[in-house]
This record gives sequence, structure tokens and C-alpha cells, in this order.
Amino acid sequence: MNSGTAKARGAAVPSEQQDVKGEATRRRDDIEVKDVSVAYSTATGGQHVAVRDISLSIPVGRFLTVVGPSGTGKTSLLMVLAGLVKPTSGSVEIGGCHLSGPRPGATSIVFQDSSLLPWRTVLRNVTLPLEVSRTGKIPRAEQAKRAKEALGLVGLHKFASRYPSELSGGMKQRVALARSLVTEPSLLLMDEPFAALDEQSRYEMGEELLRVWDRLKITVVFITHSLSEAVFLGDEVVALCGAPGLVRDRFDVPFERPRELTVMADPVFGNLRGRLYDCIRLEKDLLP
Amino acid sequence: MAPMPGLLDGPSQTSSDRTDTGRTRRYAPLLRSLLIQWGIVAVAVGVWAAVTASGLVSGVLLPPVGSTASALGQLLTSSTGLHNLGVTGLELLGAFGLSAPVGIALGFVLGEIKFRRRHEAIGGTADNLLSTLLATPKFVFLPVLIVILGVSYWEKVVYALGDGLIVVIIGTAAASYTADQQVRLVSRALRMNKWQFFWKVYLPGALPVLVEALRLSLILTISGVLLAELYISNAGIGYLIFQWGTNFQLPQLFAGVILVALLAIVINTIFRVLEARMNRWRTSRQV
Repeated sequence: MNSGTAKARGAAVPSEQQDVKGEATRRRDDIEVKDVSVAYSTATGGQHVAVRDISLSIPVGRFLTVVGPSGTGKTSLLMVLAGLVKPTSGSVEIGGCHLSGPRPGATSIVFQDSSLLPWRTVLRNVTLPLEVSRTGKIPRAEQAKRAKEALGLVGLHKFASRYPSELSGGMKQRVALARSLVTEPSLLLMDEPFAALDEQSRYEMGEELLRVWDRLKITVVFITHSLSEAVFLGDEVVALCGAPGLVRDRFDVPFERPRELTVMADPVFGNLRGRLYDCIRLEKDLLP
Repeated sequence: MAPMPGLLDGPSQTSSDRTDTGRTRRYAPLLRSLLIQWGIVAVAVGVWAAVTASGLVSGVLLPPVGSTASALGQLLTSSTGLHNLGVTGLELLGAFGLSAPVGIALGFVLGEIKFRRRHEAIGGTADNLLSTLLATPKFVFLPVLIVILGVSYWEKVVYALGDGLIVVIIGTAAASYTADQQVRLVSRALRMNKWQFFWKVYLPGALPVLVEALRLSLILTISGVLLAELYISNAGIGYLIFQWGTNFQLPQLFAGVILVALLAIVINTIFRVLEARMNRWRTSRQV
């Protein structure tokens, strides 16, 4: 599932400047978040500012984890990056192009709820993005082939004809991950995807995700509540605290790739985790 | 009409095997319930025969089983019988054939308006209108309908639409909740257009609710068509039943009523089978 395979399929490999119907496809894109604020109107008629003046630079291929307590606007930030929510002020640029809406061919999202369609088999769930693809009709056989590849990536190749109701929570999230990867995105957004799993499954899924990412090396923005998860998974960790959310801390994670769970025993891990905890706790003390 | 089996039942699926999703497993509960139903009917017929044969109930009130059965046979084989059955059948087809697609389309639009909570006024007004239409006994408007359309095919169809169409709209509008916020978010992220959303996400998910609405609609359509025929008509099962009733031809009258009951039961069974098929993705439990 890389550009080599794309060439083998005979598909055109886009050049750096090529744009298909205004949507970026396989460009290697840096992400620039510029002074983004997001405010929602509340039911009572007021304004709730989720995020204020956040600026971030995310180089391509980076695994960025965003951590912070609830209500700090992490999901809002993700929604803005996804193009699903327009920022109240500021802008997002991907590869120098202003982001104006969802980019299903280039950006994929995995939510906390796997949101699989229960009446479809696992395979048909994974082909869904290909069925509604705006970059041209893809024949059924080709869709199935790509879906099987994506399922193979997450180790669920044998479950293609099962139904979601037959799967465990972790497996459903793996299908959701396969669905997000079937379009070969250049940006993968994940909103606390493992939060509904038990701790054991969480770490296993984390390892699995890293294994997949090691092969694809796409840009990932991963939101989590878990400090350990943030440090274990990321190249870089951003701590969002306060309401509205601001970037309170940001550091690189020094561990090598590929990473094993054993890295959590390293004292540096504990320090980084502690650093995050201090940042968050500080915010809590400041809250009224 | 005989009581509708399953109108107030809970979900039709009972236990389910973890690994076996084969046909026998899926249809076993259905077959079992059918057996019980027909068992009850057999017992009722037995009581009926006993009561009339022994003279316990006068032949003026309750016709003997034998003559009713032969009247039923006459109805299903004679040319007049078949002609009238055909007339009613076409009316049912017309009424239901309109109620279903139009009702689903309008119901979808209304449901989405209400779900997204846009245009609150429209949603509220539509709700009031539909409830009023459903609650008002439309029977009193039959004379008006006859003045407009005459005693005709379309008069029967339009009358039946009064209940049939409304129920589909209401049921379909309620079905919008089956597509939850999460799955809508995914659809938006994939940039699905309205058409794709309707066919791929909304319809399959809403199908159980829709099938139930269609079932109720069909039953009310039958009731509506028959009522219009009973009131004034010159053809159809309702017309025949009216004639037999007026002429005190009890075996024929009972035969007609039984036939309508059988029709309702067959329709119900078909819908139950549909539901069983749809439960395919529900019968398997988590690993």
C-alpha cells in the first residue's frame, strides 16, 4: 500500500503540484495550523470557545499525539484539521493549500466509535470510502482487492465476510482503521480511538497501530486522554490544557522506532509522563 | 377480521446460536410461531363445527363449517368471485403502490428536517397535520370524495391513502434516528452526497422501522379499501360482503370475511419473513 503498488496498478502517481478536482491526493504535505480559534453557539444562545489562537506546525510523516483533559478542545482541533468544522478565525494549510472542507481521498478519520454499518460485512464496510470516492469510479473487483489489502494490514484478512456484530470492540476499531487506510491517505486523524477498550487491548492496539504506521509512514494526529499512550505512540507530544485550550507544552519523544511496550519501563518515559501530568495538574489547580 | 398475530409482539427473534447463522436457525422461531397460530385456528374451527353441528348455535347466526368452506371455494374459483377479487386487488395495489414510495420519500425529507432541527416550524406543522389526518375519522368524508371522484377506482384508492400514506410518512420520519450522529459524521467526512447517504447509510439502517411502518400501512390500506367498498361500490370484495350481509347469505358472508382475514395473515407472514431476513446481521452475537 505505497506508491510502488500504485504504479503497479497502473494508476497515475500524482506529481507534487497535481490536484485532482481540487482535492490533494498523494502529495507529501506539511500541515500548518495558524491562529485557529473555534467557537460554538450554545443552546442558551451564548458562545463556547473550544480552542483559541492555536498554532501548530506538523511536518509530514510525523506521529503527533495530542493529550489533555476533557473540554480542552482536542476534538474541535481535530475536526478543524479534518475540514469538518470551519474555524471561527485562523486557517489551516496543508501543503500550502488552504483547507476548505473534508478531503476524503487524502485525510482519513478514526473516531472513538468505530461506526461500522452493521448490515454490511467487514469487507463492504472497508470498501465504503471507495464506493463514494469522488476521484472516479473504481470497479467492484478493485475495491474488494484494496479492501482486502487494508484488512491484511490490520490482521483481519480472515474476517472479511463477518458482520460487525460478530466482532469485539478492538476488532471493530481495527476494521475502522482499515477503512481509513483503504483510501491511502496522507493524513490520518484519530480521536481517542482506543478509549472504549480495556487497558490490555489499548496497548495491544497501540502496538498494532505503530506496526502499521511503520510501514506507511503517513502523518498521524492522535488524540488521547492517556498520558502513557501519548508518550508511547508519538514522535512528538502536544499538551493542550485549559478551557479554551491552549498549547501548554510540546516535546519530542526520544525513543527509537520501532517501539516496543518495554520502552515504558525506561526512566525517561516516566519523566516525560510526569512532565505531562504536571502540566495538566497545574491547569486543574488554576481552574476555579 | 381475525386478530392480527404479532401486532403487539416484541421482536420476532428469540434465541440465537453463536456460530450458526444458517437458514434453519433463522426461520425456526418463525415456523414455530406459525405452527402455534395454525394450531389455534384449527382448534377454533373444531369448536365452530361442533357448535353448529350440535345445534348449540342457530344456523341463522353461525353457518355450518361445510357450507362456509364451499362458499369460500366458490369465491376463489367462480368467475364473479375472481373478478371481484381482482377489482379489490388492483385497488390495494394502487393504494399501497402509492403509499410506499411517496410515503418513504416524504417521510425521509420530514425526518431529516426534524432530526437536524432546522426549520422547526415546518417540522412542527407537518407533525400536527399528520396527526390530525390520522386521528380524524375519514369515513365522514367519503361522500365528499364520491362527489369529487365519483364511485370509482380512484375514489377507493384516495380514501385508502388517507391512512396508508400517513402511516408510512410518520414511520419513515421516525426512522431518521436510526442513523446516529457518529455515522452521519463519517458520511460527511467521506463527502457523501444526499443520494449516497440515503441508499447506503440511511435506508438499510432504517429498514426494520420502515418495514414495520409498511406492514401497518398495508393493513390500514386493506381496511380503507374495504370500507370504501362497503359504503358504496359496484364491485370488489367489500361490495360482495355488503350484498351477502344484506341478503343474509351467511355462509358466503363468513367466507368473505375469512378470506380477508387470510389475506391479512398471509401479508403478516410475508413481513415476518422479511424481518427474519433482515435480522441476519443481528442474530450473531459478539465473540
